[in-house]
Amino acid sequence: MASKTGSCLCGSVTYELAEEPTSYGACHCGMCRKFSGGIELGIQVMSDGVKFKPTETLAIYESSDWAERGFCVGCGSSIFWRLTTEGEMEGMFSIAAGTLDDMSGLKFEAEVYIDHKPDSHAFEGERNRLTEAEVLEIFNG
Amino acid sequence: MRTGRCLCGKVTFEADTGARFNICYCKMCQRWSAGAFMGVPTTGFRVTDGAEALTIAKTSDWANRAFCTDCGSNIYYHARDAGAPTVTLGSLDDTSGLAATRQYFIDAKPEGFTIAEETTMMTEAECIAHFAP
Repeated sequence: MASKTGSCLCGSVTYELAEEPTSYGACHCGMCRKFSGGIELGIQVMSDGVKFKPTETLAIYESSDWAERGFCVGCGSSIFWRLTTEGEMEGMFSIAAGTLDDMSGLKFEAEVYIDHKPDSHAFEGERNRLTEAEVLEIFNG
Repeated sequence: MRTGRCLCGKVTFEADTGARFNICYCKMCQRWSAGAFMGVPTTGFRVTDGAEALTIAKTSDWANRAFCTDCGSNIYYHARDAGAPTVTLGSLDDTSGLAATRQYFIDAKPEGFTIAEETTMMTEAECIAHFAP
């Protein structure tokens, strides 16, 4: 089954999730594609749902008015996207699914910013696919 | 020739690419790119601005991975004894005309994840036999 622990490529950033994850989603927005350089798969957890081991290599970049992104300065691994605006969902993480030590058993549940996806690739299967507007409504509504 | 840049815009580059990109699902690429690496092989790569902000990390015995030190955007993967680096698909300003051609470490891909496009596929064993016999 999927692990609760994960790390970056060089192993200096490590974390433990409070609960075993069950699913992941993909974000097609230009910022996620640029940050990760590939396919950004994320596991959504609230602020208290993950604990990072203290390390100097976890850097934070304020990527927009409403979110920040964590990465390792040693190896460049994309670690998370995090909502920074006030409200119920403040502090919510999308933890990079690829950093989990074991992704077995996770369901590929949703794709977001589907209207920003480039033509170069598409993902097979039935799942929720939300546009930018639909995502913003969830965060703001 | 295509151009590219990181999220914060400090690092910009030019690259000579073909019309294809590859996807790698090995655990190292999964950890680096949040899920899977999508790379565009190049025959030439030049940093046009912000070279001082580009960190080039030696991430294995055979490869380096480069990223922007300020914003963490992933720029390229480079097998050191190959030619020019493989730039990340996401870092390019314009990806029109690029098609997925190969998937590496197909047996390691995340469960439930399949791209719609048809490509050549290589398992972990086939990749190792091909690249590091």
